[in-house]
Amino acid sequence: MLDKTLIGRESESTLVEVERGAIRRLADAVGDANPVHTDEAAARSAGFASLAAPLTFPGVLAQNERFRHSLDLGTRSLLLGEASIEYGRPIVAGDRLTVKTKVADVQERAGTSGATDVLILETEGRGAEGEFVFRTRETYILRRG
Amino acid sequence: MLLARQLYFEAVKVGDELPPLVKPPVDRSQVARFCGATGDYGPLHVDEPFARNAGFPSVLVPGMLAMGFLGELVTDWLRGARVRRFGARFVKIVWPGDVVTVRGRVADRRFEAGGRYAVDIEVWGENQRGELVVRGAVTAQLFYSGDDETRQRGGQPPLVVTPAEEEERLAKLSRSTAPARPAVGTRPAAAPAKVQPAKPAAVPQKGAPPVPVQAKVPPRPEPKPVAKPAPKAPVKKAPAKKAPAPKSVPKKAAPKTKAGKRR
Repeated sequence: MLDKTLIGRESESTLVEVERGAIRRLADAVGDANPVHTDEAAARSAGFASLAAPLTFPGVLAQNERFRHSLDLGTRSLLLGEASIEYGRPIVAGDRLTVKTKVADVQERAGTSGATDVLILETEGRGAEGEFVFRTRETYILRRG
Repeated sequence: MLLARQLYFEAVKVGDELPPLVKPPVDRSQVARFCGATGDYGPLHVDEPFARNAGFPSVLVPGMLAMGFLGELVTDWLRGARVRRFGARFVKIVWPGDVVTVRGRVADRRFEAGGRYAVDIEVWGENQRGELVVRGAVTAQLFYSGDDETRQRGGQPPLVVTPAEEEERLAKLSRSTAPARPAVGTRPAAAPAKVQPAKPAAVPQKGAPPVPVQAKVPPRPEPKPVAKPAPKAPVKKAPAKKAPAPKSVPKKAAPKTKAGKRR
């Protein structure tokens, strides 16, 4: 069983600049050819302030290897079971976001091969004015062994 | 002009389908590129011996990549409309070589206070065997019409339309002229039947049902999957059971398939 006292643990806040290259790399990796991710004019004519990040971009911002490592999960690997993202506004190139992750919950669920640990991480991103930009909630299944 | 390319609330109906998107087979290079782009180098996705050791036949395609396909589908369809919420549940593992087809359907449209208009879209993805691999939900906010957009972009308050007013306008419209709806981007242009690689409607019935990882989705009553992710199963009567996810693994698909192109 995962340590329940992990619940509430928070990462440091990090300031992240949303780079055009990062947006393009994600769009390319997904095979998403929508020009709003790569062409400034197309993005603006669709109503975005600049290149629009793909909808799953907050998933990139939520990656915090150091924080994850600090949770001491041992050799167990994480398998993403569920993810949800709320948006305060679209994320665009040039955004400077303050991002912070916390352990929202630790659960034990019955599985076919015994109990499985579940780790729920929440990450929030705020803009330069402190305004809410996004929140992700990711449910990870921990594989034993 | 650009306004004509927007998707407006007045043109959206419950049940409208998004043009399906057939993605090219996911290969290991794409997985590597995706891991690089996201910064998530989980060993199950990049380290084949590690994945085998953990009891899998090969590395796994990250669930987030399948979610990315869903995101692409809705971004294409929404044409700039603002997404409020996007959730996905990874029902079945995607393997290198798999061909994923993503689909979506308008589940609800809502008039909200203060001239805000929202649509809920059910989205889901199937592999080349017709098995459900991911399902999710998107809530987006749309301008009511071109007029509404022009007003708001000009700094004016939003256009407030009530369901009754819309009803009345539609009734008038159908009395006078033939087309019941403004034709502005109403329907996905593609006939869904065209693009489907396999008979997907028949998906859930056949064989061993693909079963969700830990789907505890209570059967939802018909109305409003408001802002929740993962609404009722998008495919008609998907067997929402629970699942021994990783064990009953399909043999990996030959990573040779040449399929999938956009549009």
